[in-house]
Amino acid sequence: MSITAKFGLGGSLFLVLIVMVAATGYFSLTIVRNAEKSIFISSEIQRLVLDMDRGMEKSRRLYYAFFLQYPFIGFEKAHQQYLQPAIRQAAKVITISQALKRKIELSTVSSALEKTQIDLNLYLSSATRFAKTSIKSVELVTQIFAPDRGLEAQLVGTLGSLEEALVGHEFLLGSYHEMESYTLEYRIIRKRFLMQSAFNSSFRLSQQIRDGKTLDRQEKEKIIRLLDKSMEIAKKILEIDVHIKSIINDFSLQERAVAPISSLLVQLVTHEVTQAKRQIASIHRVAVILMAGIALLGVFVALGIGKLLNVSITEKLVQLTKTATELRRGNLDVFVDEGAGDEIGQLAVTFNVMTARIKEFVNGLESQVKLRTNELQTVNETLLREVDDRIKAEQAKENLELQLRQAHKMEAIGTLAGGIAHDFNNLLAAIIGYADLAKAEIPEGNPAKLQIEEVLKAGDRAKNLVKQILTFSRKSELELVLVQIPLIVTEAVDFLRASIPTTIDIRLDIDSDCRPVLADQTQIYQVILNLCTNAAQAMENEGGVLEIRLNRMEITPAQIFEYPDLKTGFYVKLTVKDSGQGIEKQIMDKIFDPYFTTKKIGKGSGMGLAMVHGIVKRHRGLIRVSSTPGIGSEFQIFLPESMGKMEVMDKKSTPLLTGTEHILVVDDEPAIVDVTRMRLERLGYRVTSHTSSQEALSSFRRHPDQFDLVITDQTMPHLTGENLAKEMISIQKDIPIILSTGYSSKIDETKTEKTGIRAVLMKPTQMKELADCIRRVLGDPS
Amino acid sequence: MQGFKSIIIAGLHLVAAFAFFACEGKTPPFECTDSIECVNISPEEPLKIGVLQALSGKLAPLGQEQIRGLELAIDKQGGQVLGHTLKIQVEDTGCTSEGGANAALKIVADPQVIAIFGTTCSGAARTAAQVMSEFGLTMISGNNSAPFLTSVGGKAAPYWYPGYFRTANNEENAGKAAAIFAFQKLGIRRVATINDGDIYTRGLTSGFRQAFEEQGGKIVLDTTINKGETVMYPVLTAVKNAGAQLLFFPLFQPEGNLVLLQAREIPVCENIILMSDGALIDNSFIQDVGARGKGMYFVGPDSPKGARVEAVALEYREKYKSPPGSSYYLNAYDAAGLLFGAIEKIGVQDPDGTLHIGRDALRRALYGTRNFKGVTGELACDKFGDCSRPVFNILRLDDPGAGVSGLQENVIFTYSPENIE
Repeated sequence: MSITAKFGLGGSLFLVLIVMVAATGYFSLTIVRNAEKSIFISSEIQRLVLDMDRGMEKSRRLYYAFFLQYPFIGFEKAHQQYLQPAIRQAAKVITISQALKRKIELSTVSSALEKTQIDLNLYLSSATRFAKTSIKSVELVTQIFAPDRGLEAQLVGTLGSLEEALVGHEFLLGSYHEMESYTLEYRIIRKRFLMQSAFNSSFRLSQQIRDGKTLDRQEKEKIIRLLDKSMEIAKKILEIDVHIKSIINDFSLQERAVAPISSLLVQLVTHEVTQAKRQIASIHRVAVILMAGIALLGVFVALGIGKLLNVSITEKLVQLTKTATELRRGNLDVFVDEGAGDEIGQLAVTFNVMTARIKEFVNGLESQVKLRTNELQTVNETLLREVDDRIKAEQAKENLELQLRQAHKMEAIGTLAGGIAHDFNNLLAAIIGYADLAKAEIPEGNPAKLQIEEVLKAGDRAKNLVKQILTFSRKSELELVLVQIPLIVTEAVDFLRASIPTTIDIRLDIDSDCRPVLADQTQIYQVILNLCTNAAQAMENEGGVLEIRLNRMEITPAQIFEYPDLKTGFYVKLTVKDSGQGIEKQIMDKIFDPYFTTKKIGKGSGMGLAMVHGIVKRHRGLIRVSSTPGIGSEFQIFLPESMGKMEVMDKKSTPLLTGTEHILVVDDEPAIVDVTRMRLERLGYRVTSHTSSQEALSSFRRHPDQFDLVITDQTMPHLTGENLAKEMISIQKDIPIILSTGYSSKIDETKTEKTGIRAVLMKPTQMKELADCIRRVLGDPS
Repeated sequence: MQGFKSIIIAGLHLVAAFAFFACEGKTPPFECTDSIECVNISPEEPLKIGVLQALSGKLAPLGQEQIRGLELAIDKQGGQVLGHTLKIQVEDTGCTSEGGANAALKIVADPQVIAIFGTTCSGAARTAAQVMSEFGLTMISGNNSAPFLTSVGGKAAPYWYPGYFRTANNEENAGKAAAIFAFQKLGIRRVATINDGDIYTRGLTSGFRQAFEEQGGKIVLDTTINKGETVMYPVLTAVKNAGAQLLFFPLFQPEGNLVLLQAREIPVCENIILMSDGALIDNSFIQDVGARGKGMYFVGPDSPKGARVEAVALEYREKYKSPPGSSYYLNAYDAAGLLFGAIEKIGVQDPDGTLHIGRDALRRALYGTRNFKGVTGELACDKFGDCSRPVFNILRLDDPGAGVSGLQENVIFTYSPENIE
């Protein structure tokens, strides 16, 4: 049997039980309702009976009250106050008893109550009789007691007249009084024998009157008439009294007849109610027993069903649960007894299949977990590395910022130094120029000649110094050619070996892959010398290792943050490393400052590293330094590789080029105009010179075709070299102009080319420079 | 299918059975044509007779005698009439008119009651008959003798009500018999009468007065005492004052007893002859007054005699282990017999035993009674309900020790209307 069928069976059994309970309840309620109806009717009957009884009782009380009260409150008033309500009450009782009779006839009451019809008939007729007899009795009472016209009043009146008539007859009055007193007594206690005695007295009185001699005949007749009349009235009273007595007796009989009826009715009705209540109680009991029985049956059925379900479902489920728990604990080798073919059996089969699957799955999972764990480890390591890299990048950023600040500082120093150097250079041009002229003037053997040579030597030194400053401040001219850096390095190292003590081991490591660099080879040479000299000096006392490495490297986009100012691409990296005392951290940011030195006075100019910095910057390169005090320093220089072809420079010395052309020289410094004029004339040229640019222009305007070349200073009052050149070109378009300048940030070659200026000469100008420049501008093929 | 068939067959059987029984009981149902109404008595129901008698007070013995007479008649019927058990409902009248009325009300309250057996006293009968008659019942008495209940002088009496019957004598002639005896045999000319206001006693005194005055005598005092009165001296004084030679006091017990006893105590009454009537012809009275009753006259109905009387008397003695108090139980016996006979005559019986009795039919049956062989003689009822032929005797109590039977045997004078007129 399937579980559904089992549940169906259980449900049906319960349904049957519910129907049984409902049926029991329905029948019980029906019976109870009937019983309640009976109670209701009974109560109604009881109420009517009690009303009836009360009415009867009240009527009687009122009736008796009439008799008790009329002597005191007067007949009329008592009649109104007691008798009339008494009769009304009786009428009401009649109505009630009729209603009661109908009620009992119509309602479904017990046979006992039905039999009370007879009693009710009696009650009804008794009540009717009561009403009638009470009316009759009132008539009778009225006859006797009605004031003025009643029999008693008449009797009293007659007796009064009689007494009046007898006044004066003492003998007769005695009998009269005897009669009167009997009458009075009767009127009080209403015993007939008293009235009989009064009659006897009146009999005696009448005899005495007849026998009496004191009365005349007329008097006698009158008195006898009165006497007879009173006795007549008395007889009537007696008669009516009998009637009244009979009626009163009647009442008591009625009461006696009726009294048990109401009590019987009440008793019956009460019994009816009790019976109905008992019925309700017994029905209640039976219903309770029945329902309890059904409930008990229900419990057994529930137990049976429970047992059935327990055996077929719960136990199997428990087994399944146990197996599932085992499974949960990891025991995959469990199996459920598949048992019967019901739903649970199917579940068990499914469960077993599922367990097998899980087992399969778990095995696969373990290997996967191992795999994933490894992957996770790898990822974790990568992450750690990335974090490390990030930290490093942060540090690099800090360095970068430091370097940036350094660069700005160097820029500022460079600008300052450049300005000073320019002016200084002009001064030196005059010194050297005049010294040169003076030297030529001084004959051989004159001591002055030696002195002038000293002046020229000092001038040269100063010129070098200015050159160095300009190099640092990047104001020096660069002769950029494709340079094979390894060659320069090798040459410089060879040169250095002679001057560096043997305690210093020089190690040279050059990567042959290095490509040429577009550079000023002199300056590069200078850089290598400066760095190596510094390194050697750092190891001067203790000795050590000087490592010079040259290698090719690429800066990828990812690395550009490490190398500020550098673009991506290939670089030649020059490393100069020493094992000297190192650089103190606090001076690290000052080492590239001009005139900053840690060396003793006279040993260093303080321009070495400043120059290196300036040169590298001008070559769009980068210099980095790292140093640990006590261990050594390492300088790294990155120079961008050139894409162009290697141009071999021929550096042979040539004689000064000469010419005969007419040259106009303009400079506001008369000394420079002089020196230039003298140099040009020595080279064979004709020279016209002006110290005023305006004068020169007017002179040129006058004879523009006289001049083959114009050499003009840039910085002049009123009219600058540049503007002058423009004016002149406007006069004669193809006039070659050379602009000579000490320092001018405003002049660069592309710009000058636009204005028509053919060349720019940096002051102080060497003789050879000047000669070469003139020939080049004048279109000489040299 | 089988079950369904059997149900159909059973149903057909049932229909057939009904048809059969319907044909069988073809007699038409009883239709009441009675001018008053019909009493329908189911097979198992008893036939109800109401009994109104004086069962309390001094007159209780008379009432008891009546009931015994009835019981003997019922015994004769075997307790049944037309297959229905006779059931009697006994109510006490107290021998008063109001008692009669109230007791009658109790009887008529049950619509199943067919007739009333009673009463003892005529006063009670007056009111009871009125009630009974209004309700359409029939009433028959073995003891009432007041003329006012039926007829006086051949005309309807003031208290005659349709449906009233009696087997006791109309004592219209008892007073007459006493007056004639007093005037003619005793030579009395002055008589005092005392009644108690009851129609019975008033009937007798007025009958006496009429007859006595016709004879030429004089009623010197015609007075009344109340029932329950105990002091008789004033009235006896009045009797003496009136100069009466004879006192006719047809009273009941105990007033009758008191009049006799107090008269015997008053010296002035020594010479007055005392005469009473049938109400005091009873053992209880004789025992009460004893020797003081000696010489007292009674006027009463002739006591029946014969084999049948003896047979009934024997049954009485056997049943009640005592001699009958008077002969009135025989009137009761006849009254019951008359009633049962009439019921049997007019009762319509259904096959199932249901009895239908027309109330008016019952009355008419009784009014039509002729030549009914009663133990008290041949009975025939007139249109006023009198069913007996009255014969009155004057008795004198000479030997109180002989009791009622002794008294009844001591007949001084017999009066029969036919004899006189």
